[in-house]
Amino acid sequence: MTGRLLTGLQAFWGLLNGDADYHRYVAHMQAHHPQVQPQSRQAHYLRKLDQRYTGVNRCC
Amino acid sequence: MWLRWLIWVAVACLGAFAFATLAMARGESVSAAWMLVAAACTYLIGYRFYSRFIAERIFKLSADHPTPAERINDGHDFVPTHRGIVFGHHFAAIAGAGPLVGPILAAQFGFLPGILWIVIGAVIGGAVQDLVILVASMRKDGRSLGHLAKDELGPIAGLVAHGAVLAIMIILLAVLALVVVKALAHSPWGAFSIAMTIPVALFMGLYLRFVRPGRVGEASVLGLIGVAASLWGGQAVAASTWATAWTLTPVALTWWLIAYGFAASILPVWLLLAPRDYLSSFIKIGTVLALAGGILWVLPNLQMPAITQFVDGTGPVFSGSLFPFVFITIACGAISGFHALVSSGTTPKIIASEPDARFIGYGAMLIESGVAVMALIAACVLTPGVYFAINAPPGVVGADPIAATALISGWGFPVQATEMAQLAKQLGEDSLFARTGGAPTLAVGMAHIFSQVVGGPGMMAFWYHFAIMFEALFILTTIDAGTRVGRFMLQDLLGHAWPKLGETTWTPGVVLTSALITAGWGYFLYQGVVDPLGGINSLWPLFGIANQLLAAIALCVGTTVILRQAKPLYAGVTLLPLAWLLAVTMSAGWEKLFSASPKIGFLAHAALIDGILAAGGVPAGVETAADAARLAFNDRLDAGLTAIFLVSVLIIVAISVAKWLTLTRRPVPVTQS
Repeated sequence: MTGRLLTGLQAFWGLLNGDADYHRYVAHMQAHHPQVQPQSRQAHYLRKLDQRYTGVNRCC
Repeated sequence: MWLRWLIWVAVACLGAFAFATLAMARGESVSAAWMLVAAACTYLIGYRFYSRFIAERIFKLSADHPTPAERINDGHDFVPTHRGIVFGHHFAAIAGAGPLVGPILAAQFGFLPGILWIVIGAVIGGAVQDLVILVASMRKDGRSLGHLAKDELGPIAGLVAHGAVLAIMIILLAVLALVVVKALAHSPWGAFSIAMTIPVALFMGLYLRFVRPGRVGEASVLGLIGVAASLWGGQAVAASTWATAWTLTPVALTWWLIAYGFAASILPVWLLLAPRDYLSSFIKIGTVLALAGGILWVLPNLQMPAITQFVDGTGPVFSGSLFPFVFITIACGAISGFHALVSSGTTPKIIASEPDARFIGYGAMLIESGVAVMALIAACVLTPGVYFAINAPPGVVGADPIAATALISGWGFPVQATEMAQLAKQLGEDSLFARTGGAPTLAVGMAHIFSQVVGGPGMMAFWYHFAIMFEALFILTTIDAGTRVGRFMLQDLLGHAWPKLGETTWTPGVVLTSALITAGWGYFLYQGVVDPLGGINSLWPLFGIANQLLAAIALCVGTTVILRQAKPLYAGVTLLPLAWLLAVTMSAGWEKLFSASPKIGFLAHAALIDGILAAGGVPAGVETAADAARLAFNDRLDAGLTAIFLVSVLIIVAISVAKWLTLTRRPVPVTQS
């Protein structure tokens, strides 16, 4: 039971901080664009940031 | 089946009983628990019945209709995301300082008007707006509010909406910056702690870029340790010889904030802005949860009466009677136009399944409303005399503590100068008088509550500064992110006239537009800081009116969307809050423009100053005639802005009504024989 709890927490932590994001991106690339090399972790992180901070993204 | 109905009837009765207890409190103190119960019951009923009606009957949200994330699924912008994560992102984007400031200011009317508007306004207005715009945008592949306005109501409406958004952004940034200035002025502990979060963020940024790219969790943990160290360091600095160096006047802080906003919006996002954002999101969510927990644990009594005499408009915190000003002062906790921008931003692009929109759009707003309730509780657990001593500007009570406390006690809220001095000492500050803007009051309330959970009276100073830092931290992040957003909007706008300026990578253009936006909010910030009435007094109503007017625009768009696809009667869900908002904002705007009382009307105040100057004197609290002339000019500028907002909304309402009439008068179909 603790094993499942720990796996769950680890998954949550990964989702929270974006690790899961990168894995999901790589999986998406492998599934849909197998001939294209996925971006490096650094490049993916920077692109995500640029995307996030363009346009209206927060309120008061 | 009947059991479920029985449970819901019980919830409704409990909620009604809680409201009745709050409403009928006269003299005896009521526990904050009743506020929580009343709010929770109303939210539950609103979510279970009203949002379900809107989602299922009006919009017919179904897992069978593919969302843009499912259809487009490009791995960048359109990525189907788990509803819990979308909720988190959306909530983090909509929940800023608004729900924490408005209710604190509105507490001057007593706790009852605030709690009623926060809860009812959210369930019938704010959450509805957020949900409707989210669905409308989602069904059009994530188009922004301005774009939706153009689609539904025509290019004029689109243009007006864009202009209104830019103007609101500038005022929002000025107001939030003013809250920070008021919180950190003459506070070496506070100023040091916040200043140190900048190097912490820079470290995180470099770490995330070069050392361990993308490992946000790790970097955030390091950042949190850094922030905790800054907080402890602040205490050491305040007790040391460096204290005078870090004791900053409001004007000095203003220049620092302007410089910071400008720099942070130009530097690359990964270096300062993003790490600050991560850090402040974690701290914000953690603190809000801790406050909820603290209130539930302590269940403090509300010391503020249910209704005070200031509903008549003579209040010190801001002038204006209950109607319409309580509805303007509390914006983000009840209904906020800015949320419509977020609801038509990234969120609609990442929803995995249509029915998720109900949970995300309606639910997130209810939680934010809950945050507003907690802020109201924090303000109302203070002794009313202390609340007024902290929130009354020197322009109203004067600068002398003994005279001020005598005046406040004379209003019926007993407080002593010695009591205030003792409280200040306990909290590690020189003085708590005239610390307007809501943040210090919230911090005092939070300190009271947290110290009853952990640490006792000895930790009040720490909790107070923690609370100040928590609020200032994420406000600063809103300021730098907001300046950047404003810059994009301005570049977009100016790019039509001179295309080179529209390029987001052309450095001179970036620098120029950032400077313009910063100068825009910096100007209003400076005026607010030197205003003897405290600045919040005039800027916050301006912000509230602008925000509600944007909500009116969003509701016009929402009504049009509903009329296109559902029974005209169903448009009532958006028309009801729209009608109310128009009544409130038009009244408030009218009063701010044309009221004969110089305490309320901008033009009357300007005329008063002109009169004093003509007679050869200067108004109280102002040093030179030039300063006074600038105050009068600023009054007229605020009046001009208010007029522009009112006219913009009237234009959009007129266009919308014309549209609705054409939509509802469909030609009678010709039957074929």
